[in-house]
Amino acid sequence: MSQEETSGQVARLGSSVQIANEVVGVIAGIAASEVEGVVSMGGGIVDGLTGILGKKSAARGVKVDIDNNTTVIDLQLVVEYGCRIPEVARKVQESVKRAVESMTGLDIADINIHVQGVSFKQERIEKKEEPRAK
Amino acid sequence: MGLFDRAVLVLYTLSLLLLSLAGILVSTGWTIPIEILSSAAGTLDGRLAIGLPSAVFFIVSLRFLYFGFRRPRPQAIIHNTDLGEVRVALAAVENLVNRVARHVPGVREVKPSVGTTEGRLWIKTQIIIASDVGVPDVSSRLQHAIQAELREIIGVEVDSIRVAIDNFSDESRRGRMDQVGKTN
Repeated sequence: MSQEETSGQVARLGSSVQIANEVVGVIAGIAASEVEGVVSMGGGIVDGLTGILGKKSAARGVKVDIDNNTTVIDLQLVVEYGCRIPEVARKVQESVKRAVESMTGLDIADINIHVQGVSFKQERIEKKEEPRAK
Repeated sequence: MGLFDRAVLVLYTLSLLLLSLAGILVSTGWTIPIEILSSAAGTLDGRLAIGLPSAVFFIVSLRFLYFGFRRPRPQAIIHNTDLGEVRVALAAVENLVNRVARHVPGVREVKPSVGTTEGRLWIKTQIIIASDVGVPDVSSRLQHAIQAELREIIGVEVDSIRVAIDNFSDESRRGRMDQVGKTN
């Protein structure tokens, strides 16, 4: 794969800066995971396998496609039970767009969100704590 | 895979079973299949009798290869926003339905299945309910609970929610009997 296919290019004053897809992925991954309601990133088979193998990356669950300076980001995430999914997705899209555009200068065309699951972990923890409180 | 393909798969597997059995017998010295094949190859009718089933086998094999390599499109509920697409996996929806159903009073066990037809979401639930509750009451409460939960969390309207009562659980009666036993 050529360098051009795996990186975004930002042109400034006749020179250009190449930004690797992995870097964009890490920025997007961190921005998404900081949004309230996002429990974890990933959730696909490949992510599950890399998780088992112990390979963890901030870009887990993030796919970046840069084609002719058009950037499309796909994010796979697991949402916390009780949160409204459209709202969480909207916040993730806005947060990722803001972070990637401000840090790299790339223009983001689309941020696609794939909700892979809903986590009931928080609810389980609360239930466990209830009897103690009584 | 539809019913037709399953029937073809059964026939395909049975034919392969017979062919492999014939191959094993030929390897032990049984020469009749080879003699039949070589004599059939000498006549036009014989060649047709070999060629036609082989052609059918070839087409069926290609079809199964296609099934094997075809990547199923992950099913999801799709919302389009100005910033991109939001896809909620049907597995996540199924998880939610499972949780909602288990919290409806009177529902003991639940097996949900979720799907979309032409972009419309449908839900089928097979449930086991307590024997001391009314079926219409539990079904109605379950349907309303699922509808409300999915509207609230995913922001989607469900086209149809089918409830099938698989069985009655005698757990509640047993529980009462136990309580009576303890008080006595």
